[in-house]
Amino acid sequence: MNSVWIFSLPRTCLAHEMAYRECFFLVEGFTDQLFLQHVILPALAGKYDHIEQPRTYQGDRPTDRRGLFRSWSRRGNIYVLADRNPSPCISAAKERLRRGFDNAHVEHCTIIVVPEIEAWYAAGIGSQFCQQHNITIPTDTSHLDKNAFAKLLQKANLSLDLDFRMEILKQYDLMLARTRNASLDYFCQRIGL
Amino acid sequence: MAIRRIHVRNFKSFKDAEIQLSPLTVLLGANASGKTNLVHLFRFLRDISRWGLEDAVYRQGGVDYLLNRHIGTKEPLEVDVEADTCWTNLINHDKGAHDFRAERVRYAFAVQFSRDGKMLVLRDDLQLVIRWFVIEPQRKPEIHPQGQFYLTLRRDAEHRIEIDAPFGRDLPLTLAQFLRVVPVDGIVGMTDIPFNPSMLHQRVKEDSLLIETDSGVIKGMFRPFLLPFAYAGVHDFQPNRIRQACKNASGVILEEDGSNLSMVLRGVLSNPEKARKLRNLLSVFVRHIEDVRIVSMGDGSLGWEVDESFESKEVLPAPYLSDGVAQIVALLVVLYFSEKRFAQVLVIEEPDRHIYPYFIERLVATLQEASAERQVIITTHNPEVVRHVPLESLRLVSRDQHGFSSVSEPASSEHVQNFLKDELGVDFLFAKDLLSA
Repeated sequence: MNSVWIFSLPRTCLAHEMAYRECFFLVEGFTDQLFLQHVILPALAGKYDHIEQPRTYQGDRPTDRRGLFRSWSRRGNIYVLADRNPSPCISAAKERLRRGFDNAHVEHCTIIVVPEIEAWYAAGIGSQFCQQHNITIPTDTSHLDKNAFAKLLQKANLSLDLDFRMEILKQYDLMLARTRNASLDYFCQRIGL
Repeated sequence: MAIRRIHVRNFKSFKDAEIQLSPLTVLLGANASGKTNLVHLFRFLRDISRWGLEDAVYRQGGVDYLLNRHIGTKEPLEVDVEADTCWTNLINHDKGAHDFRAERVRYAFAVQFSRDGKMLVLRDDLQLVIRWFVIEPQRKPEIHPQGQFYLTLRRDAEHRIEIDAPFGRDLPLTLAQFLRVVPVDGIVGMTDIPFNPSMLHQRVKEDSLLIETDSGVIKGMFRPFLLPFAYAGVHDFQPNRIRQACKNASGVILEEDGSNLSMVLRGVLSNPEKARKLRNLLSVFVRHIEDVRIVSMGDGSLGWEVDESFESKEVLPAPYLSDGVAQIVALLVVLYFSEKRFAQVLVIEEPDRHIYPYFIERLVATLQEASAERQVIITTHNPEVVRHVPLESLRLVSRDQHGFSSVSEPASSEHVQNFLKDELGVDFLFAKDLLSA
């Protein structure tokens, strides 16, 4: 047991002395989580010493949310994806989110307000996918909402939302997506991509 | 098509209870609160519509296990069910057509059992709420709503069939004209049943329900009721049974315990589009599973196996899979690939069993997505499920001081609303047994 304890101590020290870099993501729902797992985490490989699997905070009790936030903020960078709805603007959305966490630790995190995660999904749909499913993606997807995404799903002749998302993620083109969606590009810049 | 409401009296642990159902309904409650008895009620109604009352009683273990133990044969068993339906009856006439659309169906019956096992049907009413439209044959046909009426089929005290509807009074059709084309399969013109006026006032058996009669017209009228119940899928998956190879079983309808999964999977995987969909859905839960395959066993039975995407690229036969993976495969098959006509209503006991808490949110999302296509009713003890399900979908089953079960809606409880205002989660309230406070 002692050897384990001794071994674990230098690792903690390393985190401070050799800038052991950790990265954490908090997202609202599981479709955001799927997006990060399939698109962002593979792209981040090698840029951090440890990347925690994205966690959802929807439905969490505020005390649990604050506890997790406090704990992570001692270890590394936290990126929080926040849904803009129902806030009228980005600053209001950030403020709403801050209220749900512990204000004392908010300076350790980067809050990215996403108008609709569906806009990020659609942004990475390449021409081959479009041809295959007879759909068109606008050059700027910033204003693409859930309804527009549902119409794409219908047009693509795929009956299930989850199936559609998984098909998109399998062929996702992140470079293309960044040119089509400003908030995704901003998010990628902030996390070092 | 969905079941909206069930009122039951003297059934297992229920003395007198009513439950409102939504497209996704989650039944919660302590052990022995009566959740599974509610599942038995769906099974009972399904069996009545499939096999008849006598057999349905037998399948519940006989009268002793069917009725409430405190009440027994002192009072009748009563069931009153309301469901959505989409039955239409289009009747052409010289200047166009009458379009009759049944949108709601209500069926209520009461049966008195005697100690020696005899049954006497006391009440047996089917009521359709029908909306009436007149279609005028223009180049672009015009549809004019005419209002709605009730069509009631019931047995009288002498066990004779009565039909009550405003035909010949408020409607420009006779009952005979209307019933002449009752669509047996819910599809107009598919089967027109010749109407025989002698069917009315005929005496029916005292110990069987109208739903069991062989009369084509009555069967046609019962069709809207039969559809959601006769094809209700009731499941309590057992991982050991799901993983097993099988033969000589249905390849269309998944058994209650999932024991014929390999046969049903064969049908899904033989269709490239469905197979692709299944792989995608599976990867939402278990990313390292790349493919699912059917394998023929030496004895002629069928088994199934999966490909793992780890470096070793292992092929894992189903018996080596974890309980959770087996459960997920069975759930995805029944939720997304059951033929709709065979599973309009799905009742699943603890679908979250064996599933990693991290995936529960995804499980709830799949249940919600599936419930847009068919009604899904589940039981659970899992606070993680409670956390992710909309509050309006929760139904709490509990027992009173006499041991009778009742069903309540936490969303309409003032106590629950106050707790929520105080930032307590519904999952926390459930785990601390505060939902019924």
